[in-house]
Amino acid sequence: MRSVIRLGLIMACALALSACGTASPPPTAPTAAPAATAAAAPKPTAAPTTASAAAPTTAAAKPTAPGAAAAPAEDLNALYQAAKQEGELSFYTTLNTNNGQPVIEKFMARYPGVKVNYNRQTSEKLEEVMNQEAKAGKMGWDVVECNEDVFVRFVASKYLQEYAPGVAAKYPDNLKDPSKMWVTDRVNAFAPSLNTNLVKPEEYPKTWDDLTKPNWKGRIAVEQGSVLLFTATKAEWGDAKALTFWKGIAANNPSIRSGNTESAQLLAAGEFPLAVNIYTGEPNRLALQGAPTKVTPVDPVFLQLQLIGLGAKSAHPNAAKLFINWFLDDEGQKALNENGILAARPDIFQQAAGYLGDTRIVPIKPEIAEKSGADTDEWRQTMGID
Amino acid sequence: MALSLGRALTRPAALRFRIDGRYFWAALIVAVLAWLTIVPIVRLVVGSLTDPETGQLTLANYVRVYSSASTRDLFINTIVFAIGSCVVSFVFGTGLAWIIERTDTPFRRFFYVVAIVPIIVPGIVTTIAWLFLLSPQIGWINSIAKSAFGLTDSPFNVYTLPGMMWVEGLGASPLVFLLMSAAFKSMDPSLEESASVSGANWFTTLRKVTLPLMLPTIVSVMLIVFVRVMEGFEVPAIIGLPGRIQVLTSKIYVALAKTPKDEGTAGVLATLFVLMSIAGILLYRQLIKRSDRYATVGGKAYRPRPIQLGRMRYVTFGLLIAYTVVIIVLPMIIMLWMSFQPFITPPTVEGLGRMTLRNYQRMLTFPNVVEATRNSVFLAIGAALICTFFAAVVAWVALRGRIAGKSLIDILAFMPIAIPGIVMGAALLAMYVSFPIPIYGTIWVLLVAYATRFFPYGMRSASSSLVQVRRELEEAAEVSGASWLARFRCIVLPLLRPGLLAGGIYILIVSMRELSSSALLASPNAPVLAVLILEFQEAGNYAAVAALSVMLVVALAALVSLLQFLGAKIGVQMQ
Repeated sequence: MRSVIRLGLIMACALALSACGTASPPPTAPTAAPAATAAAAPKPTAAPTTASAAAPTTAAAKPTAPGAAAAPAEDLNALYQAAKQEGELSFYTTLNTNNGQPVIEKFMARYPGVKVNYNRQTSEKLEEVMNQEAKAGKMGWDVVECNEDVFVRFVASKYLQEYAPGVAAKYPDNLKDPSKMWVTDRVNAFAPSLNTNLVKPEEYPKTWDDLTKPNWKGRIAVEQGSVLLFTATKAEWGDAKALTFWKGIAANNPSIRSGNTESAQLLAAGEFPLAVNIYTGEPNRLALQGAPTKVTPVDPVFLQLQLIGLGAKSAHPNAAKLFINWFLDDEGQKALNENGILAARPDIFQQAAGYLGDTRIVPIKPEIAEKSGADTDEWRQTMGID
Repeated sequence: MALSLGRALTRPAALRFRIDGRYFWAALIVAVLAWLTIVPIVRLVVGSLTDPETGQLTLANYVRVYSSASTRDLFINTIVFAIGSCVVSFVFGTGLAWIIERTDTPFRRFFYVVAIVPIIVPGIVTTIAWLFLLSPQIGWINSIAKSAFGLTDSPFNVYTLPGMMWVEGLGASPLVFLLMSAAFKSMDPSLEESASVSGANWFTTLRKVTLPLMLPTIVSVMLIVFVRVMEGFEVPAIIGLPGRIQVLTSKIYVALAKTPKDEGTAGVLATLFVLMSIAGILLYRQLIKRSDRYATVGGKAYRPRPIQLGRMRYVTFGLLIAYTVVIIVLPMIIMLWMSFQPFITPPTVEGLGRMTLRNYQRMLTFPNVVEATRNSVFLAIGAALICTFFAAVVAWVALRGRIAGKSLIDILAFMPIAIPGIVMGAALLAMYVSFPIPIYGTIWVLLVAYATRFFPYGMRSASSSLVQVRRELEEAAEVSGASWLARFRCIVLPLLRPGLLAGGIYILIVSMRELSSSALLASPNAPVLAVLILEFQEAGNYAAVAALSVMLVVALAALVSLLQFLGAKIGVQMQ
């Protein structure tokens, strides 16, 4: 046994040494620490006046002010005082850490004493986690933010509660839910993207249909997961025209790829000259870093909406509401833009969407996005990947 | 776990059980194994038998999947892909292990480090590196070959079945290398010596004596590789899909990407993998029934003596160099290059101007990076210790235990490997989110998940090493009155050491980058490195993943060298 223990010790020591300079692995579970520090940090100076405190805490059950003119009714300061007592909130999102962390840090700097616990997943995984947690009766999260096609299922599963933040008044009707389950906070745009080393300017597509022309044969790539765009084109153009278009794409023998970001990376690397149906964010970000990528907006640019809403069993409703308000208002929206994400609020969207030009924009309605799941088989058959 | 078990075993009376301690512990082992493996598999099978619309039990999923023509084509593709990858990994892994462990090739110890370092590199980085080497459009090797030989077409195309086998097989070859070299290490070379005394040359000896003796290990490791290739996602998604080569996992991926999720189809296919792995284990057990044929570790003392290759040793040295340059260094150069670029590109002159340290800076300043490293190291050590020691006990029970149903234990211990990572991740999440002991959201749930995922590796390496050990040693000790624990501790464990160490090293390294269950189970309170990798991967920041890989490779190379150094020291002490 001695030699066995020795072996174990060697393995342990050697690994500890290699751990990027960290002295030793901690034998204890580091779980409770963040919550504890967060709870200790905020020391509410004085109890808020009963009148102002009552409004935000009870608002969890029922929105106080029905109708769109709620803006002045929401006292952010009172919300902040109540949020500080809660001390933290848990934010479930598909916003990746690279882009999301700086935004969240801005919030925490603006509202000291309210810590955001950030749980970041891809949408499929987020759904898996939320479904399983709901089944186990663990719905303590406060705010969820993700793409519309998944979000609508959260609404259907009653994971959300009605909440019309005051700031929603600044959003047009097509970007917020009439039944107050969500507001659109950011968007992903769909437009063709190309590699400028491999495509001459005179070849740049002017319309979606250009991509079905023979000069693109064997030069385009299709992201297999973009069923949403397929569904959106059917809604916009009618089934027949949309199918003709996508069959034309399939006839051009596209390279089928898996993953939006991966496709953008390979586009930049020159693996294929043009990507038909990937989000524009990544090629645009790469272009800003000097990659030979270019987004070529054609009529129309489709927008996938990312929605934000308040958890049905939110354990920190005031902190959650404060966060949603901030996220949808100037500071949050600008912070999103600064981190290369297209903020949804039209005035702020304009500031970041210059590369989309003045091309017509079609936001994909959640009720259309809802249908994309059922289109998967048809999409794959059309692309010849079944 | 194994330690506390050992302590308890020394005082069975304290437990006040009147039954034989051996049966008690065998039952406990079966219970733990059953919990770890049967629960996710039952979930899988139930999913495969459930109608997604109505939730009622039905065979419709099986009928639908098995009657579709595409399933048959994909099945054939999958089998061809898996066999081809096995061949690639076997040739490289075994060849390296033989040269390094059994011959007098110069500098062979150095190549030990070279052979196992690639394990730490995340699959996405290796796969993309091979795209950048072998793609007909942008592949480096292709453009060099084209300009060197004046070709108009690219000689290599990675988007083919052989291309997939190459990348996947190379990915698995370090594992083959580790387990095979452990087997070579503990083999008594006297049979080889007899062969060469009788006039056989080294090749005949290798073919007629060495490899047949290695059969249990070969079958064990090929079983792992075969099943792993079958359930792997990365290569089919990145290389297979653009090449229009679909395999069964592509179908699972699509089924799970649908809304609502088609868990029926995914379940049917994953069940097929599980059945095939059970068949593999039964085959293995059949093969080692007369296990004494393979047992060369007996009562006689021996010292492994390397085979004198004569002039041939410069050839084997050349082979090691060629392997290192083509298989290790070229992809590593691509990885290193990518890590200094703002976005991934194949190496070009104009790219030189874009070189940047930002990826490293970003990696090191990422929130929680220190905590994540610490957690990952802790988990890797924990998973490796649990899997190897627990596996040693379980392997002993499955091979030597005097109880009925031993093959069931073997099957139970191997099954988790057959379940595709994303399916397993979801099953583990469902199991532990409402587990009465509140481990969900802590680091402990990951330890359990890793132990479940990697136990089969520990089990296979322990089992194939145990087959090499003759029973006579234990029997002698038993006759002399040694308890089971004393025998296990003083005889079995020391003799299994090379195999356990090989399995342990592998588990330790892959735990650092386990993605599929980490993604679902890691909580923001307990970050791990794997989640960092995923974050950057999903954010499209492959350059940052490459930077992390470079750092991991450097750390691992240092670690392995240190281990080798310490290992050599222990070896001296023991003599």
